[in-house]
Amino acid sequence: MYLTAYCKAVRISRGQFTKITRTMRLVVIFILGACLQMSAKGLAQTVTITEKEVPLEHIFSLIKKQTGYTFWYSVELLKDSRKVSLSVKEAPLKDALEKCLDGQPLTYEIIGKIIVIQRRESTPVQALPVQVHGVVMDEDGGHPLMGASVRVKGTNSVTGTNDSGIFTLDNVDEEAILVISYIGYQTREIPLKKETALNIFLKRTIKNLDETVVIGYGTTTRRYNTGSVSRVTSKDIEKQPVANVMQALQGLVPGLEIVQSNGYASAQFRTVIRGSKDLFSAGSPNVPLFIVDGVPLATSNGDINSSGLNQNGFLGTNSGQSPLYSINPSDIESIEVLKDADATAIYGSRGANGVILITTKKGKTGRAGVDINAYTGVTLHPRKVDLLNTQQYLAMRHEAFNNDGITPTVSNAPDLVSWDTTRYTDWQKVLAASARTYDMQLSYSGGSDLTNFRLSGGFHKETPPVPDGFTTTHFGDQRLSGMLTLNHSSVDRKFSSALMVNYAVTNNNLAGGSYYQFNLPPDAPSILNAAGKLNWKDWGSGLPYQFQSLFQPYTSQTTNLLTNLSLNYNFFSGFTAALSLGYSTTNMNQLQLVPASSQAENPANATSYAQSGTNDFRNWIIEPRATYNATLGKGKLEALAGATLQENLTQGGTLEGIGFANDDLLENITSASQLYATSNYAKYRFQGYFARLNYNWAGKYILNLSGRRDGSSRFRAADQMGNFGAAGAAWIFSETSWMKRHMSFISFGKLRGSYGATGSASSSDYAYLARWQSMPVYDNTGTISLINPYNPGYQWQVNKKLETAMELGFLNNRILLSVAWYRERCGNQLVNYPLPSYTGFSSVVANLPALVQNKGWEMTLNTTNINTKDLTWSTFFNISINRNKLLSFPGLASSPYNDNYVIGKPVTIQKVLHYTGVDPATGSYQFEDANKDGVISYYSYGGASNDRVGIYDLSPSFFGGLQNTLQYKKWQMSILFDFKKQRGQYAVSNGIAGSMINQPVSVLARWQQPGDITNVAKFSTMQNTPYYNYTNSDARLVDASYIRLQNLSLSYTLPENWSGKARMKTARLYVQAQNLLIISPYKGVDPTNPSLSNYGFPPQRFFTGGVQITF
Amino acid sequence: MSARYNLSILLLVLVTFSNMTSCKKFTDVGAPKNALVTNQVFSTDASANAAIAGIYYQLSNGSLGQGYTTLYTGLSADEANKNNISTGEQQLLTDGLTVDNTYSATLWSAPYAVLAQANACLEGLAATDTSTIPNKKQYVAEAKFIRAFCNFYLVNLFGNIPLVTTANWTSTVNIARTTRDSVYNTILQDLGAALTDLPESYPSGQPIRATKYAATAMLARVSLYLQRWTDAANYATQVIDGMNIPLPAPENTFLIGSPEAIWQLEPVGGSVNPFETSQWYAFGFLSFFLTDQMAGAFETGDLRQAAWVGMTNSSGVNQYYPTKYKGSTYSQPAVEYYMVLRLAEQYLIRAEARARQNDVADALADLDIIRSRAGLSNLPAGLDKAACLLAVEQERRVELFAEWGHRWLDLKRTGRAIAVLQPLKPKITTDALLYPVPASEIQKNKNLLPQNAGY
Repeated sequence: MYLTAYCKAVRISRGQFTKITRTMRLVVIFILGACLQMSAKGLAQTVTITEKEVPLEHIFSLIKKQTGYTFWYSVELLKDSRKVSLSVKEAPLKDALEKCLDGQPLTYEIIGKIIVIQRRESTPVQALPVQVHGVVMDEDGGHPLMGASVRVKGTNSVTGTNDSGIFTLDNVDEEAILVISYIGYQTREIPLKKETALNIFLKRTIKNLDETVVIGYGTTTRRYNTGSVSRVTSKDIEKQPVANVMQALQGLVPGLEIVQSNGYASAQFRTVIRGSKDLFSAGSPNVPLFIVDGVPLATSNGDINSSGLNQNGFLGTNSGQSPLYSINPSDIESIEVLKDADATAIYGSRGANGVILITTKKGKTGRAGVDINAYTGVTLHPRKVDLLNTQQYLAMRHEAFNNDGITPTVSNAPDLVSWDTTRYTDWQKVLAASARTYDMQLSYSGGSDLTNFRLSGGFHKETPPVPDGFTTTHFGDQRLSGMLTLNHSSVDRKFSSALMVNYAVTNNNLAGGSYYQFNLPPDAPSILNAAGKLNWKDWGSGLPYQFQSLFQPYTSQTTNLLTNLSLNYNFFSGFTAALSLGYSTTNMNQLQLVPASSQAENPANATSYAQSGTNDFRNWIIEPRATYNATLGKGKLEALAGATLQENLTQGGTLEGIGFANDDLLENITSASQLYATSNYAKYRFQGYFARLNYNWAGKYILNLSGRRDGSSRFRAADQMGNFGAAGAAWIFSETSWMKRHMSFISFGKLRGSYGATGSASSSDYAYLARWQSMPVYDNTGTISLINPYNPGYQWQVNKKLETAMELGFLNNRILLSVAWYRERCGNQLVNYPLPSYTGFSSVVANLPALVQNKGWEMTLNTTNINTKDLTWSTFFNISINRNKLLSFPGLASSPYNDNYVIGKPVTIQKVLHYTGVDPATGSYQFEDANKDGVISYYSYGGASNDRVGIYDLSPSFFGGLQNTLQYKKWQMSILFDFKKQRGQYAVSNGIAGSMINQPVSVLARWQQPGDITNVAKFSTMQNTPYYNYTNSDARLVDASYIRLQNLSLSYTLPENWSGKARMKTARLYVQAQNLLIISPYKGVDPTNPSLSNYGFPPQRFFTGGVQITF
Repeated sequence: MSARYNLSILLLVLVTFSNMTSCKKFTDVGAPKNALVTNQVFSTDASANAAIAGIYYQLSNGSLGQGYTTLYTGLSADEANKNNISTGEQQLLTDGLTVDNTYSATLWSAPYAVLAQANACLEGLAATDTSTIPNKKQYVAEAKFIRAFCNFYLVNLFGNIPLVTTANWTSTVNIARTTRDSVYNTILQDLGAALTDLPESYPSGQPIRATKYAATAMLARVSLYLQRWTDAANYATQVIDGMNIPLPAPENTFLIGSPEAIWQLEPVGGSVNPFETSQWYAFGFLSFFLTDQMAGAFETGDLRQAAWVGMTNSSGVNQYYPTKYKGSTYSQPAVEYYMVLRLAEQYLIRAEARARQNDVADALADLDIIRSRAGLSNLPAGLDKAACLLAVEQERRVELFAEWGHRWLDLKRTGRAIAVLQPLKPKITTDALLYPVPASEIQKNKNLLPQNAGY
């Protein structure tokens, strides 16, 4: 409305003009967006004018007619103007304006769709030389751009920015114009206008290729990177209503395999980059190194793929809490996954399994803004297994007893004899009656030239599926988190500092164990009796009550502090020293209560029990480093040297209290009549010295050398130090003139390769020491026992990585293709070597001279399919193919590993019996007697053969993801599929069909009488040897491939004039669904984790809806 | 900023760097705060004592101290059965074990785990002298006693076994099995050495650490198993005369402070009273139960039946379980210790040894001491040797049922196993009388081959 009003006022007097200008500036900003929207109507931006000696006003009216742009000027202004002749044909508006104003004392400025004509200011007579400082930053992320070129226009004076984006120029004319250029960003010209301290923001040109990519101790771009780095940014994370960011990465990173261990929000995610490298590992196998803003996780990397925070041996209901659960996904700006030697060698002894760098969101200079985001939703079980109904189940049981010749009794068949056989309970439905998820995020960010900040807070709560009769207030995993980032630089821009503080509190209230036993008999009694109490009585003693855990609360509470301060000082042009100080601490308190009332119908028969556990992790890291940037010949040289000192301290223990006078005292564990304590202590120290040299010759040839010397306390003094290093190189062949001439459709072409060695010290602390530890009292004496045997010593596991890749861009990089081939060979395997138990110990840490190879292909394809004003559609596809192979293993045949591994086969195989069907005569499962000794043998003794001839690899043969992102006007939609081709264990029931466990309907095809040809043995109540063999046969290893609709997100941004009325900058409504659909031939619980059988909660399905508002 | 400021920062950075290079020892973290290394342990008498007490702790806390010997050999013999029986337990019940049976493997690994602690202590002590460890001799004797005790069970359950006399796994990881006779020689040597240096009692007054009586009692038992009747009778007499007490009433036999106790284990690991009873019956649910044969083996009026056998009625069927231990496993007060060696067994050893030496009259006198405590009448005086031996077998059965596998070991050593068990376990063979060496052990050391016959 303002727009039309002012557009009419073409002629305004001078007095009015200044007043209006002031108002206008505000209005213009306000309506800018609206104007841009209007331009979508397709007004011409070019003009065709052929006029001779006409007044300027005439030209203006022609332009207005042709373009729809309105001119603003004071009448007096044009008095001094000359008449103009102009002849342009379909010339850009700016060209036409420049031509007609050429030589006039006038200049112009385009604001929105308004052309403001102003008086040209005369240039000052004398300018003074000054020193100018500035910082060059990315407009989107606000992070500094290192190596940007800063030139004084029209002179030879030029410099580059350091790794904090800071530059200094001496003897600059105070009215000079600076030209700032940086590859991948739009070049900007900045008139100094006597300012000597500048904040300069550059806009990106083409995304993807020139996006900043975080690497170890620095940044690069996809264009110039010599290594293999995959990047996922906040825009893909935010679409997914997940509690743990690892879940959002599924399907988005080639080479990264993520398996969710169960459906609890705080659960672990098994994370493996490019295949299994470890045989029986001495520590936690295949764990990548996780680093958050330069600080390793407080838990170190120990057990990240298994017990996580629960390193005191008390795993809890969720089977261990993920340390990454303490990091709010909404605070994450990007995640970089470093894979090859070039990218990981700078992490030396810790880089063998890849590195995952998590970078948090930072403040942006500019007006302070508030962002609010909240969603809520329901959680459902993604898949149901088709089980027998009561009638079918009872018939199966009767038939089994008949077959066995046994009479059902109260003790062996309460389901037939004492329970109400007319009952039917669909346990899958009852046990997962309701679940909810809630999420709320608030952030406030802003800043000035020298200082910017971002402050955020978040809350997330998820409840596991809760049975009928319970409410979601009983159980749930929740997290409250807050984060502050603060960046500041000195006025002269030589000194800068960045502070990040992240604090999170998590609180999990869960049942004391999994109650999700969906294969209980369908006629089993209810969970609660009529009085709402534990239904011991109806269950009886044949199959005692199964839901005690619902009344045995488990809580775990963690606090997590992660903080980093980095200080940078630019000593002289190109040379910067930096000091990064990091501290992280995580504290976990667990409590498991087992009241007497939950253990027996008559609590007097039981003893109340409670267990508490603490895990306290403290980690500090100091990393001084220096960088030097210089121009050398036609190229840019960047040198980096630094050091790391790190200490991780793990302390904790458990306290068990047994026998409480009253169940209400359980939470005060010290009121137990008996207390038992265990303690856990480990100090891990690490030192490293690293250097990297990167030379980029004319943007065509890049060489990157990195090396590291590391020492770790995990080895005895003589074996502590190790050297690691890598070389990487890239050739951007699209920059050659031949390519430009003959193959111009290739807009980008790069060949890169790397080779190097990294290490893994995946071993527990102190394993080289024969250690004695305190044990409880015996005979009034605190006792000590030998807990770790004598060890003659061991060394790093070494992973040699080779990679070559080609990256191509077509059609002005609308199509980006990357294909990488890699080969990793991991030797000197650090393993828990199994000892015969007669030695008194089960294993000892040792190096094995075995060599494991992972070789594979990774391909990514980004395409921008449609890119118009109203509609954009882009696609991201990736696929990873990894082949694992045990290359050598001296002495395998005589080693304890003989039944686990085969040379030439993957290390992830299972050797099983070969199932040959059900004997039509007897109805028993049959197997191939491969060694023809007349018996089916599963075990063999050193040298002797067994019948395990079925060799199956349980690692995926390929996996990947497909993401489509569509934007139509104010609608946005994203669909992410992930897929995996794999074989997995099928185990819906942990008992033979006929025992007191419900079975899938497929068992109805069982053998009934001699002559029956079928695949299901006769029903039986006995866990007999053929059944036992069946569970160890290839009949159980089935196709568990899947295509999963992992995420569907749909959002709508409210029109500005609506949100504007409510003083909102933007407002967005969205619905999101996670784990929406699984297409799989797999009949078990969840093909994404086939090891989940009948007790674990499978990953859940989420439907959420939310709103995001920015002020 | 000034040049001087620049310089000072540069200096700071340089100092930090140079500090690092001098940090060679930075990654030398030493031993953890919650642990000791071997030479620290054996540097004082108190910590050496703690290590010796640690052996008992491991014995009491492990599978042996929690009654698994009783349960699993009870299934193999005619003592025990189980509700909701698993495949592996079913194998024990029918004496049809496979080499991967995890239950019999428990009875292999549990004594070896204790034995390793004993060996570690012996090695640690070997490097010391009595000036630093005044009680060194006693500690060595205790470690040897427990080593002998563990080897006794291993050799009886598994036959030829790897004889482990060091905690250094590098020298034992590939060893072959040692014959039963050689193992027994080592047992006798260890017990002999223990007998010399063990004290008669301890300051605590409770026989929860090895005494001279314990070593003598074990020697009596070992002699019996080796059919050295004279030795067996002599050692048993030494114990009986040395202790010189009347047998307490059955209900008092297993209590803390029971005069009958020669060696008991203090319950640890969360249990206040011995764990064993809860293995049979807990929370109102019966898991293991006594076979009808065992429950019916008592003569009418046997006080032991009333004191030591409990009954529960599950849906109309009476099932029985041992109640030698009555204290609540986890709740105070502590009333019982876990009995390992007691006086009644010594009377039974002497009775048998005497009968074997044709001294039936004295044998019957010993048996009658046991019977009179049980409120039973004396045996008829005119029994012949064979009948007397059967009377010993019966008395051992009802006296020592559900205690440390006596029944299974007795049937084996007397050659009566097949005759007694066949009616219950039609498929039993003599090969089944030895458990197999666990398959997982042979996988780790193929020198353990050959496997016991029949597996």
